[in-house]
Amino acid sequence: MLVQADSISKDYPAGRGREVITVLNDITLQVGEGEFVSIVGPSGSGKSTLLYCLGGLERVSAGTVSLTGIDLTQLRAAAIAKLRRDQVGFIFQSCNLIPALDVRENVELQARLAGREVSKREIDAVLLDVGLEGLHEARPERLSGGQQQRVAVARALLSRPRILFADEPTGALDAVAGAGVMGLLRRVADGRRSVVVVTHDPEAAARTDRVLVLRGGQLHRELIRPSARQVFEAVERAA
Amino acid sequence: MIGRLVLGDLRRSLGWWVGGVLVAVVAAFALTIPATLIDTAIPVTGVRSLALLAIAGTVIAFTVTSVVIVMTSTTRAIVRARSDSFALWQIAGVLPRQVAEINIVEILVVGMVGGVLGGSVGAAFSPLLVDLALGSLPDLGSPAAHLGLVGSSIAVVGVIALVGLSGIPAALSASRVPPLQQLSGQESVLRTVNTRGVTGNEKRIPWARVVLTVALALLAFQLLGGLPRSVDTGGSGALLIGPVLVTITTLLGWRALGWVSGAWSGVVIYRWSPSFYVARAAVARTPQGAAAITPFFVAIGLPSTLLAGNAVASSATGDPATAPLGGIALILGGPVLLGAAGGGAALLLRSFRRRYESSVLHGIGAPRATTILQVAWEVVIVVVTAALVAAAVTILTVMSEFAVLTPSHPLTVVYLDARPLLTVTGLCSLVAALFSAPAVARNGRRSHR
Repeated sequence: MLVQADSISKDYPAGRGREVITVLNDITLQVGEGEFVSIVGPSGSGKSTLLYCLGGLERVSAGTVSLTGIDLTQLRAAAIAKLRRDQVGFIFQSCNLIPALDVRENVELQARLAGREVSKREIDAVLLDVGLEGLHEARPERLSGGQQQRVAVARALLSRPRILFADEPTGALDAVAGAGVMGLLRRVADGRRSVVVVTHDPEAAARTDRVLVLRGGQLHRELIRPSARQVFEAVERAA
Repeated sequence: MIGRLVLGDLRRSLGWWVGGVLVAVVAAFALTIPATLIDTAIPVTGVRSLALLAIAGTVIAFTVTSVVIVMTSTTRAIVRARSDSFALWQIAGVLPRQVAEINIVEILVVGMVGGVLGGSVGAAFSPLLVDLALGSLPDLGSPAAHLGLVGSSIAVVGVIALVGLSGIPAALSASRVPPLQQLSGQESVLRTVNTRGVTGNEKRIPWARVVLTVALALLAFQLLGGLPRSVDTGGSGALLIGPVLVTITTLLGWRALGWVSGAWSGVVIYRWSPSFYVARAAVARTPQGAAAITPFFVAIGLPSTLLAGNAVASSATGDPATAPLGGIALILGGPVLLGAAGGGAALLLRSFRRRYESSVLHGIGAPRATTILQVAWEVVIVVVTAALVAAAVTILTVMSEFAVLTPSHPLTVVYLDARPLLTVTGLCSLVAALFSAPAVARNGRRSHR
């Protein structure tokens, strides 16, 4: 399994003199190689927190998380960062690109951080792949939301991650642009890389192989290749 | 309604204005130096009084120029950083004109707070500093320096007026924030530039800046033209040429200075150090990153050009190229301190906005060291760029004075001493490191939400 979470919980301090807030409670899940998994649920159900815990951006309060067979709970922050840099790609709803860098520089950033040589031909190919050919020198503020997400996908593709985590990648996009991004993520998964995506959009979730429905920080249901209608009803019930 | 908005906004955005208050405090302190000189000159009679007043006049000229340059740069940086708020105000129904008014009032409040604080510190310490400085100028007879309430009050009022005037361009910029583009994350007129480095609103020709540049260029030519006569009569032309060239350079704006930073820092390529590369891009391509260069350049450029230019002019008459330390400190201490404080304030503002970049880098697996290194590299790039531009302007000052003086004064020599430049660059580096520390401290608290 590429991702293995065993009985993980996540608490946050609630404030002075008050008890903690439990955001995730006893969740166990696995993600295999080449799997395309989505996490859905009502607002505040812990979707993004779960994604960050799985990707090593947040530490769990209890339980264990393994990424590519390595137990994250036993690693120091620097080692987790290195693992994320070498094995993981992240795409956020916004907050994806460095404003001062152009498209080409943003795309090669993660690979550069890993100390990997990146040729112009590789960059051209990956930008062509995500439909951004000719925009090498454009700065992020000149791009639409959908184009910015494509740059983030291109960056993730170029860094050759074994698993890609995406937090609401279509949240700020219109239906057409969102479908385009989900199509790209599907192609990533088809290339034997795993993709875990958090979304509130039933249409987007219906494009994935497996849908995990969260409710109150717990894994409520698991749907295999559901329709958008089934995802919608599952989330409605969870709410 | 405007009053409530101003008070509420000042409370909420206190952090942003800290830099502005800091610059205003230093500005007020710097202005109490000439105020002390004037107060000291009044009871003294004859030539010594005139000499003290002449020094005070020179100090005022340099300090006022520095306050205007540094405060304009600082208020612009603050307004750029707060563009989202101004867009939201407009969405909520505040008129663009009112946005400008609110900003002016806030800038005046900043000037008042800083002015009173700096004026109080100046009232306590300026007489001591002036006493020390005058001690190294025996020709003036070491009069007892003092600063009365009227003198310090004039300094405070002067600072408030200067801060208000310097804030006008920034306030007008705030009123021109296009709300929808700003809030939808599209190209912001104030915050960003497109691939060619030009934004919609900034495509307009900045006429005020053009006129000022032309006027200062004419003044520089006039000073240079009159230099041969000036060195014979002991005039102050040589003292002013360098500072005028420094002022002209600051009018070129952040893009020109950003271009210089991008040009020299291009020697380090992406694959050698991604953290350097990101730092380089941030300084060279964004107004927030480049905002600190101008004040640091003023801090380094003023003493460097003034001393070098004065030395060349002195050599024309066969005098030794030396200047009394106390006199230099009196004339340049305030402007140098002001430039350093302005640079520090700009870096402090930049550190407030660094959270986003740190989040992106953290998300793609950059270790904490990378983001800390990025901060360190930005400090290096900003200070070295300021020093390089100051060195270029110093060379320009020296060479142009040499070219003008040589035909009539064959004894003239090219005088280049790197020590003033290196000393102030060291001071600016310390200030820059100090004011970038919050960015390093914040680095551990990142959020992707």
